[in-house]
Amino acid sequence: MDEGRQKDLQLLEEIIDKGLKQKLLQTIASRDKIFEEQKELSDLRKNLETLEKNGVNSLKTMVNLGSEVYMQAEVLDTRHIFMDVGLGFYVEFTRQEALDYIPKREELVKKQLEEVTKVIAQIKGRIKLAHHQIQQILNLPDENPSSHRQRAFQY
Amino acid sequence: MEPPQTKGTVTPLASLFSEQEARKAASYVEERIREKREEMNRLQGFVDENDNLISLVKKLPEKLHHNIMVPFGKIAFFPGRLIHTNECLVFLGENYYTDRTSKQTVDVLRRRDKTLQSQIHSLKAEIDDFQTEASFFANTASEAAEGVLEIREEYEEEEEEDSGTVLQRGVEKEASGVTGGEAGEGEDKDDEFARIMSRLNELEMEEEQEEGEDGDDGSVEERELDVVKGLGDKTDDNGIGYEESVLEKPQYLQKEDQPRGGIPQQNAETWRDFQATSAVSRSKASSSVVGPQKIESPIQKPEAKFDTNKAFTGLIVEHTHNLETNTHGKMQPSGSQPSKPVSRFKAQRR
Repeated sequence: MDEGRQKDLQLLEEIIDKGLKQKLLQTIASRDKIFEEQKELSDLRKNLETLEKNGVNSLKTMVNLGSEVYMQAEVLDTRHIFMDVGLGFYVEFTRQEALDYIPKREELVKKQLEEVTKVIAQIKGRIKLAHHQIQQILNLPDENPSSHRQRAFQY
Repeated sequence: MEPPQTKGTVTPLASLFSEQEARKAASYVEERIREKREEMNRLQGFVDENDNLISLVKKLPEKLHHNIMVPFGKIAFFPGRLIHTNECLVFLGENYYTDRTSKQTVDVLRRRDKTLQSQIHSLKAEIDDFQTEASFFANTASEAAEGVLEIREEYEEEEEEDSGTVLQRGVEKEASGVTGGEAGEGEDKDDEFARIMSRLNELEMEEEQEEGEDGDDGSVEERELDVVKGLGDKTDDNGIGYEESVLEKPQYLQKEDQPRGGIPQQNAETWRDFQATSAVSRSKASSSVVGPQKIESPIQKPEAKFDTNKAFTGLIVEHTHNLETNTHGKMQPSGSQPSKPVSRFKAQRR
């Protein structure tokens, strides 16, 4: 009987493990996205600051038409820039306004990052706990299974 | 007519291909199909993008400038203009870029399209292959589940097996004996056949004891010749006569075979078999049992060795005392071998 129970417990923990690991992967993926956004913002900021510093107004650049086919384009006036503020909205800023807006945005992104990191840490902790419990069951097969169960279903 | 016997094997299909494994294989193949389909969809996406690009690049040179939003990173745009609308920088791979006019760019894109299409085609072929494989596995799995049995039997070449009469079987036995190798199949487990064979073996033993002759290349032919001669003229000692009689043989044999509801293929093979087996018989002639008759007098010493190309390839010996047996020996088709004077005795039994 004990053996059977232990086996069940073990199975349950395996299942938990799988679910937990999936969740972990998902959260890590979302965190990566947030990292990217953060990077974009910082790059944009740096470029705008460079433009500002050098007093550059017009810009010549190459535009990707698709499939890596580029065509020359020029920006006559870099004083106005359109920025993505989320939910599909692009707002026209002047360069200076953009430079003010970007740090605020970066703050927001940092907070998001922190939250996601917390979630990830939590999941990791749960996984570790499950592993620990499995090990306990394996090492001490004659122990009272009810106490195991309590611990297993605590989380 | 044949005694009932299990000559083959019966295996349930499930043992050969276990159902689970077949299903596993089917699902694995389906997985591969899905992967390939995804790949194909990706390629199809490229093709569509390519088509759009071609139309765009065609359209752009119509104006000197186009007002566009120039992206600045992923999250910002600048309002700007497309200039030099006829010139494109095309990426060729391996960090190589090239400046091209719009027309040339269109050509490049067209060529790319061709490559993509050929890739898609090959993918499609692969998917089809996988699909047939998957369906085969699925069928096997379902068959195995139903308990289909696989029955294997040895293929025996003797079509004469189908004939029901004993007589014909006797003929077949001769044929099989004549053709040598096939006799070993033992296709006929008939009691009668067994009896015949045992009797023949006895007689062979007797002959071997009697037989002191060798070098009887023509022993086979002798017997057959005797047969022929027995029928008609015995005056022919010459090779010519011999050949004639030999020539007569096929007809003779045919005549004989017909009443028995003959063996067409044997007749057809007469000459060839004759020559072939003559060659064989010559090789075997040295120490094998030649024939029931002895070579009494060197009536005609034929040429020692004929080519197999010639019609008659063996010795010519005339025997006069074996007429009775000869008439039975006619049963034998052309290719009888000296080591197996079976026809004679079979004929006797007949």
